[in-house]
Amino acid sequence: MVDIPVACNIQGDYGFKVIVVDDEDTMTEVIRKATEQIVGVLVKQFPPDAKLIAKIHGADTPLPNTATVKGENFRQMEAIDIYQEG
Amino acid sequence: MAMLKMEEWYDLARETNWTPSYVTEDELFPLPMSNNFDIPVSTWESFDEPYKVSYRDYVKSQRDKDVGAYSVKAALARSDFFKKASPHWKALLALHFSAVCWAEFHSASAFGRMTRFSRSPGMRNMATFGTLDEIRHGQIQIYFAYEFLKHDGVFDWCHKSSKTENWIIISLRHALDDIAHTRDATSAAIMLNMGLEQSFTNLQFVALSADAAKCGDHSFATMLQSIQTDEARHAQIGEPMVRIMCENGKKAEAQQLVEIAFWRMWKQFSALSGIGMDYYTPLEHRENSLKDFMDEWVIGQFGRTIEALGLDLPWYWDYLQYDISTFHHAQQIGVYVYRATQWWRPIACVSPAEREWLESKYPGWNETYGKCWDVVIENIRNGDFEKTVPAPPPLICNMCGLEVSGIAGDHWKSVDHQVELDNRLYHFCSPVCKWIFEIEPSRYKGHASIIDRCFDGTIGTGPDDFYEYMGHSFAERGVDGYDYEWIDGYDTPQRAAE
Amino acid sequence: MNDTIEYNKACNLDDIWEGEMDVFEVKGQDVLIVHAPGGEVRAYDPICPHQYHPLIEGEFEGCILTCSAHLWQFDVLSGDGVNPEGVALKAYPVKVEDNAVLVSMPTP
Repeated sequence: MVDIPVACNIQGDYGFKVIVVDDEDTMTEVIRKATEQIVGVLVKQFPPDAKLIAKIHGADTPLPNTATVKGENFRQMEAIDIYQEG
Repeated sequence: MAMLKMEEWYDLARETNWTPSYVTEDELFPLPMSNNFDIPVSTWESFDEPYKVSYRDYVKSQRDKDVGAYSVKAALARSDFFKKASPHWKALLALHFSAVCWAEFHSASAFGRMTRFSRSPGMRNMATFGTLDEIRHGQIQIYFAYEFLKHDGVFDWCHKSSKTENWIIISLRHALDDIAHTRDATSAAIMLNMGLEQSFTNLQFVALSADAAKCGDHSFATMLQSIQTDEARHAQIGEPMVRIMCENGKKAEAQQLVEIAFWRMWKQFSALSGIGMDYYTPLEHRENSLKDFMDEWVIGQFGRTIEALGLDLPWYWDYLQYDISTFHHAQQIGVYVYRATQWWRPIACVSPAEREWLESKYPGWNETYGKCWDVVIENIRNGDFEKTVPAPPPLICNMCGLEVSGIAGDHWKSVDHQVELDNRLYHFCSPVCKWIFEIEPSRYKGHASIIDRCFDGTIGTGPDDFYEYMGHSFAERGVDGYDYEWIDGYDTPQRAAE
Repeated sequence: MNDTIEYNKACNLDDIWEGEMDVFEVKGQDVLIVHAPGGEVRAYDPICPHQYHPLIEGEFEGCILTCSAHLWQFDVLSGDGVNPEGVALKAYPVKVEDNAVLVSMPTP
């Protein structure tokens, strides 16, 4: 249970926002923590049926939403992209 | 007895040098202060500045200039100009003076180093005038800015800003420290003259002066023009230096110095002049966009100057084109939404008419950056002012100190350029900022960005700690310069949606 | 040869007194007319070769034209740079006939 900063680029935003997550958080929780602070502030609401996923910035494939921060060996201030699947 | 004409004695006076006999040349000109790049002093002595001036002429012409500038100021001092100026113009003045005054004054130190440690006697001569010029530029701008202090306490930041850890000031100070204050005299001369003065000062001083005159701010316009007349004299130090380097097998070294300095300064000017020209200048007085100006003065003119000197265009010239159309638009969003972290009162400058202008100058603006602004505007129209401020802080570039950003909205694309070194992850806004870091990691790796400082224990986590760290009292946190009244430019929600 | 050079009127000589300079339009292009002390008239491109600043905003004293942007100085009779040397104003053929200042402009 360790706090770790993560830099999140949410689809539609102009840049990255640094949020603090728990290293046992799943990607679902990381996505929730990021989007609840930026959706409706800098990007408009996603469609209600949108599935949001996260990807390590620069990686080829997204992470499963059940993956955890610790399990994926996030580095301090890891950069991730959060976007709508499909 | 008739006085000799300057042309008759100038070269003799300028070339006067001496051969040290009591100490060695290396002791007189230690390498860390005065890199000769293994070029012999006899070659450095061939330095020839095109525009010539004697001390006698310098004193006379500078006095005439000061009389001109100060008399315009005195004549306009009793005008109501500042009181009647729009929040647009006030924001622009506050931003200009707080960033520029101390930067000019500090550069006197760099010119002082050139005065003492340059290998060319001609350059030592020119740098003496440059030192005096920069003292002048610092003093005249602070003096002019302080005229406004009785109207607005923000102008206290003209003097105060350099002593704070405000995030924008950290960014600017880092950039100028890198190119001017931590380099030997030869390198600093090339970097400062070619990377800043020849390339960008026209942007902030000539273009802004024209806009100022249109806005009716003749005092400011005259001051800017007066400052810029000094530039030709001391900015020309760089060109003969580069020529000597290129002609003596040191083209690659000169190329790299110019490429680093130009990019460091581009980032600063893109934020300062980009926001100034494309947003803060009142719409009715805007002519050229940042892109127009960069295309003509920098891509065009400076590009030709570089090549005429025997250098190549910087390797990142194509990337620069992309950055010109994107970076400052993203930074303007950040400067507005995080307005409490600014010492002046930021303004949005995205009324329908302004958005139309932005679209005409940057096709696609409304589908990209406009989409972020749409959300901000919606919140303001609903009276949800707090929702216009993002809670989490932005990611900051570990080189330029500004936001890591990209393209927003429908064409969303941000790129974070990374370096992992000694168990630490460094982030960069561009491949060029990253490239600069990788040239000399030991030089840069110890610096912590303002965001690093939020998470490494330097800055406390209480709600006021960040502002106190940056030197802002509660009254000095930026608010919307129009008090959100600019939203009246948008009609009812139904109409705006059309 | 002279028959093939076309001259057009820029202004009347009365429009530009000795010691004065001004910009006039000839065939859709601006041209700087300079009336030097001593009576010689010259015609130049009105833009400074340094950084393209309008020369009309500068100072004309004696035979020296000083650009207001960065104080570069030009000899108005030859167009050559005085400080710095090695540059020159772009000159156009000019003559005075029947009180009219006539300039030959290149085709744009």
